[in-house]
Amino acid sequence: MRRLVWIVLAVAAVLPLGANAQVSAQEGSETTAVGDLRVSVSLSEVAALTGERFTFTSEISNKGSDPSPALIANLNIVSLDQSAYIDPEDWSPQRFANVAPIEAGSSAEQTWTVNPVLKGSVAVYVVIVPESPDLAKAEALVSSSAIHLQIGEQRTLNPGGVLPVVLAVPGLLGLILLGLVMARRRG
Amino acid sequence: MTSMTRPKRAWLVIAGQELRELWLSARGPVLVLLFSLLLSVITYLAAADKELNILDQRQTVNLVLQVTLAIGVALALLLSADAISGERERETLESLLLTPIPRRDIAIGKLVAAFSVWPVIILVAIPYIWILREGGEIFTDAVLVAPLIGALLVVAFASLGLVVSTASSSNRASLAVSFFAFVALMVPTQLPLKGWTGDALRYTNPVTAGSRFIEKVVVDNHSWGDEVSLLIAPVLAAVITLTAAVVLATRLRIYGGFGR
Repeated sequence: MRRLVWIVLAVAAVLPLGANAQVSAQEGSETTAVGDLRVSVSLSEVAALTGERFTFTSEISNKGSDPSPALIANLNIVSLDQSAYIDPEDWSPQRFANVAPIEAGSSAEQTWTVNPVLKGSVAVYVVIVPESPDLAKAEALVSSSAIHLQIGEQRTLNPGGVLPVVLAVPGLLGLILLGLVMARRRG
Repeated sequence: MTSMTRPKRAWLVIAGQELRELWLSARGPVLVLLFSLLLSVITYLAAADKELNILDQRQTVNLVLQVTLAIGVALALLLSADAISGERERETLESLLLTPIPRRDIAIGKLVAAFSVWPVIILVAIPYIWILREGGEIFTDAVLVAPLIGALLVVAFASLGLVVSTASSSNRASLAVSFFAFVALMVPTQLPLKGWTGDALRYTNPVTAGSRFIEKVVVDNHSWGDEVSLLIAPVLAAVITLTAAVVLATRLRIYGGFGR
């Protein structure tokens, strides 16, 4: 009887694990593990001035033997010298890309645009996250190596070509005012 | 009243006099020059941000329009707030009231002078909008929508200023009350209006409604028809305050308040 109780307890303890294992096994049997995916980027170092846009590509390769799950590729931007707070929305108009399942041995490419808005030392990298929450929390995420940006400050005296208007309108109004004052003094 | 006949279109005489005092003296041109300097600074900073792509061109143009609207409304309000109480304080109101010009015409003439600020302000703003526009469509939207909304709000606020000025016994009180009204109505444009109270405030406050209308058309590229409900408050405000200013002007007295 005691042995039977132990057997029942052991089965009860194993069952939930078995159920979880079944979910993972089902997902694992259809798609390759995230760990079998690799992300590479087309640049490693960029020196630019603020406002000088550049583009780069990332490539997600499936090194496994099954198709990958549907993925989200996310662009991350981090300040390395803490000289400034980085709001990624200011730095890139597109922060993520949905990636359809990639066949085994194939790859998918994404193009990213970065617009440096502050000077400093910055790392830009792409991380891939499975769309399925179960897969996303199951294993460590995969990311590319970082592109190191060294951003210098660009100082332009005529941003957007506005300087002529910015100077001419008050100048013209100042001349009109001067003319009025002189006319009143004469009159 | 036998020897003194009531002049026809007497408001034109008052308006002409007020316009000359405003624009041929240093007062009006100095205000417009200061406005252009402010717009130059804002345009320069906005262009620098635009170059870094933090603001897109529609937001940049909207920023210039909103500043233009606020300054235009404020100037019209302050000029009309000085119109009657200023005359009262300078002791020139009595002689004005002794002329055969109807009091209503005095009010209309002074209002016309206050309204004249808006076309000048918008004319000065157009080069700034042009240089920031980056596209024909946005420029057309901006130069059509801003003058309309501004005209409605300028009529509303200038009329409000005249009502306060007519009622005030001192110029200081008139300017203070008008300025407070301006700030109280302008502040909600900077608040994150959410929920039904936010919607209620957005649609009933003529300034938030007008400002929102410009934003929707210029920034979000909505058609005018989509946002026509936002025009109700500015139109009503303009009609009600203008009517009140003209009607109450008939009760204009040498001292403050409204007499019979």
